[in-house]
Amino acid sequence: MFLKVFAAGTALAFAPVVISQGHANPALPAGCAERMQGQRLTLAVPNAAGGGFDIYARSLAPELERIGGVTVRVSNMPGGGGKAALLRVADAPPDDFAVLIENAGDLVAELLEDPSLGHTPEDFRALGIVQREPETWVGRADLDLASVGTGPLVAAVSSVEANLATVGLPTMATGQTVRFVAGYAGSGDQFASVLRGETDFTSKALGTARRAMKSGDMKVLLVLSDGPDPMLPDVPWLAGEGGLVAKLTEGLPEAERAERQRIAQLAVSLSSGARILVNSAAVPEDAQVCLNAIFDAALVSPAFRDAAQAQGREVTPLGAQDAARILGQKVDAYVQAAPLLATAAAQLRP
Amino acid sequence: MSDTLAALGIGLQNVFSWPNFLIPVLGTALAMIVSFLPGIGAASLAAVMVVLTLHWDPVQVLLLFGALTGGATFMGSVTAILFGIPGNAASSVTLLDGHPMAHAGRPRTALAAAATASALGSVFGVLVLILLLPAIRPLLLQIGPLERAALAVWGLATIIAVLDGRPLQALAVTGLGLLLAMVGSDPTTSQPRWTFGQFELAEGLAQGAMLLGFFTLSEVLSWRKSHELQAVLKSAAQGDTTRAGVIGVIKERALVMRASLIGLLVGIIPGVGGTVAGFVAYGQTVQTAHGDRSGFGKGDIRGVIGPEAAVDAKDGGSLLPVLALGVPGSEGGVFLLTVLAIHGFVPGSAMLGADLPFTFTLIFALLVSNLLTSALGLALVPGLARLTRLPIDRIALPVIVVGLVTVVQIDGLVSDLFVAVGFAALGYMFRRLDWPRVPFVIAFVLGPSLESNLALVGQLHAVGRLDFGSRPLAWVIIALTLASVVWMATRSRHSTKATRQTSKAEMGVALVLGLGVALFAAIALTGGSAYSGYARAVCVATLGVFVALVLTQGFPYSRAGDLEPRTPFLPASHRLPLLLLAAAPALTLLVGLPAACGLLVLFWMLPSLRRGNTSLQAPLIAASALATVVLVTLYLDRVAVLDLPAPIVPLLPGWTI
Repeated sequence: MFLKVFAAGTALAFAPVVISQGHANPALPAGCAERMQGQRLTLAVPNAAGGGFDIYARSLAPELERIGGVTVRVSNMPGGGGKAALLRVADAPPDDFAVLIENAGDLVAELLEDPSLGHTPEDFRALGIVQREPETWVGRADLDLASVGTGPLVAAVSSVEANLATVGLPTMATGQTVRFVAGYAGSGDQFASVLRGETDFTSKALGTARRAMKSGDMKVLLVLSDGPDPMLPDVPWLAGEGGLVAKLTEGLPEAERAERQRIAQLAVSLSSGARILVNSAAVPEDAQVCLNAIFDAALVSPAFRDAAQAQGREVTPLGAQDAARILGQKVDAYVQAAPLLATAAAQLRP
Repeated sequence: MSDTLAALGIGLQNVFSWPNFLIPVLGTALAMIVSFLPGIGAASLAAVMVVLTLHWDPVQVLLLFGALTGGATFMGSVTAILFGIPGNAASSVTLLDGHPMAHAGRPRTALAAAATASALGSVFGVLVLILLLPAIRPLLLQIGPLERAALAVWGLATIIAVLDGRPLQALAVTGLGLLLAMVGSDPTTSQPRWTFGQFELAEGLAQGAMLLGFFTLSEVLSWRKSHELQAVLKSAAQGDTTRAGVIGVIKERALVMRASLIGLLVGIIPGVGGTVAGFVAYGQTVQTAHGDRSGFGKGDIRGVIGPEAAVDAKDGGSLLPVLALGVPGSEGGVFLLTVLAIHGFVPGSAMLGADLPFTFTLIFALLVSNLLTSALGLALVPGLARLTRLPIDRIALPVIVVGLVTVVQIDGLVSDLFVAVGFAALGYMFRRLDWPRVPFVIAFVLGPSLESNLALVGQLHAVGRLDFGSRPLAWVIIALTLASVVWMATRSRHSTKATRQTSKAEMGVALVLGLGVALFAAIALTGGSAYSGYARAVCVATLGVFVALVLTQGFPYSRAGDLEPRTPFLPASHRLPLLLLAAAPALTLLVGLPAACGLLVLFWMLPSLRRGNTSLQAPLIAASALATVVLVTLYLDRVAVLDLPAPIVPLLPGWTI
């Protein structure tokens, strides 16, 4: 009797392991199922529950668990403007798998601007990108940026420093005069200021801009990209052939046009949103290979895409290699643009 | 008009049809239960429900979110009244008079008054919301930085009403509140200021940690077997009934109307929030109160009625910007906006036109939830009131542990414990010296709004985008502010306290705080562009007030002071709680939060070994400490899902919490 009970108990205890082994994703490299089985993985979100990053993390978690056999926890750590989450991942011991979901541009800016954090972009490894979207300018419905003589524009922004790449650099490229009104509390406050006529436009990611457009009275004025956006084909774009900079610099000397295009391209690189997943570079190589494979598979799974889309979030996934390339491009663009950003800051501070 | 009435009818039908009616009832119950859990506010619940309701019918989703918006507000006041622990930030103002009422043996009256005022406030808010809907878009567009700055000034002007006969101290703590509210970063440039290189301070001193430290932890320090406990009535005072609370509110119906109007106005303004509504209403309540005003802060029922009505009326107001403009007025508004987008609702013209029946469904669900919460609150008053009979020294320890866990949970920052403990020390000092606390909190809460909106007004004026003549609402608020000030100045002063001699402790506190302000001022004046003209002006003005305070207190100070020998500044019974609380943040960094809480329990209870049966008590104390470690670990790991940095000295291998 005792033996029967013991055997039944043992079978029940090991059932989840056996079942999960049986369902282990065949796409994972050899040994990964054993290496990662039962490990705990923390997805650190640098915002409070409910925002975009949180929605992506919670939609991704079940797929990571299903594919990797890991136990995933989503931890919201909004403290210190998100730096608490960044440090949680950067300082994680090698055997503690913690992953940060953050905007690639913000991550690079925080690491390069704040030496007190004690970390550089090299301390992180990219695991993948959840979604990419360009930055846009959203503003008054009667405003046309391409028309000559638009005059000084007034931009509603949260702070000067946070909008140097999204507004400062583009206006240096187009040659338009912009005045900042800084200190608005958030997207809603900035949209309201445009609706009140206090300001002409504000800068927002495409997804946020499209949601704002639904309530009427505003339109997307400009997409910070180097070509037409498939979703907004009639809206002007900033850089490249046929873009706003090309139109507004017609007739200028070629050298100056090229410089303006260079600035516009930097603005596009720096401002384009990429919600990236990174972990600490201290993670052992064998585990990193497994994590890369698990995230690669989870990011392209239909279940993740459906869960995110059901909550109004688009998914445009990229794997670890592409994510690392984009992170590297952000770092390069940031280093190149540093003198321009300093100039823009000096000009635009109220 | 007929369309509006038809939409109204459909909205009512959606709410009161069966089984739809169950949804707001269950949503309200859920919000009420969750609002009792430490740190898990309405926002966390809403985040979970957004996901769980993805495939629901849109009407049912609106019914649920209306209920969630209204359900949590009142319950936060229950813990504020009974134990001095605000269940949410907005209810911290209720404890100013509610908790003293409970202390004086009138918990039923306080709870019933809060429930009734909440119900009336919410009905008022919803009725006005319905009336305003057709004209709301142009009205909302009238509210910009100028109006918000004017409102903040109005709120600060109410401080005049709560001076409590100590104007210089009130001015000093007001300056201190404005000053500490500026720690973090400049609202215009985002450049760090007064952060001393700590990134944790980049977003400022956490308001949740401040309120918990300043009100709750500072209060609990005096609960441990002290002389003050003898003053607590063990049984209900005569006339402490539910009926007394309800009648008290009905008698003050004009106050309910005024406070509800304030709540509604504050709710409409995006980003201001319920805490501001409560404190502005409190100031107005004191300011406009007839008769004796000396009881405010000591258990005046009007101090419960005004804020409660305002905070619940705010719920209706905060829906307006979401529905009409798609602009969230609060954290709850953000979730509502997300839910509306998910289920295909478009804020703006559509919600006020074709989708008006859905809008009314949401509004009526909010109303039902608010009324249900208050009705349940009234029904539960006798049972809840009995909780005050719990031995207060025994619940002090759980309150401290829950408070510490909550502080860390809000932003996931262990450093917020230092903030909470710092404010607990400040609150304790103010309490012991009888310095006014309300002006400090009003200034701290309103300071960021005042500064950022004044900065916006200046910038808009500079770029020629602000026409002062075309902002009638701002002029109305400015006129109200001036009228308030003049009225207060011409009315007889309340409770002017007898001239006091200054104690050694009071002089010491004034000097220490003054030196702190001087340090802040020196940093601001030499710190470059991160410190705006506003920041420097507040520093210099506050420093001036502290200098005046120290000078007027006179040298040499009296060694006797106004505090009698029986009530020294730091009674012996408060020393251990103070020491343990002061050590809690460092202990948490050293050994982790669960172990720190366990050690806190251990050292708190150890002295009792001297009084009883050691062989029996020692295992009990050890078991209590161990149980605390296990419970806090499980809570952080399973409920809060919070990953904190690994402790410096992990007591057990593998612990990261």
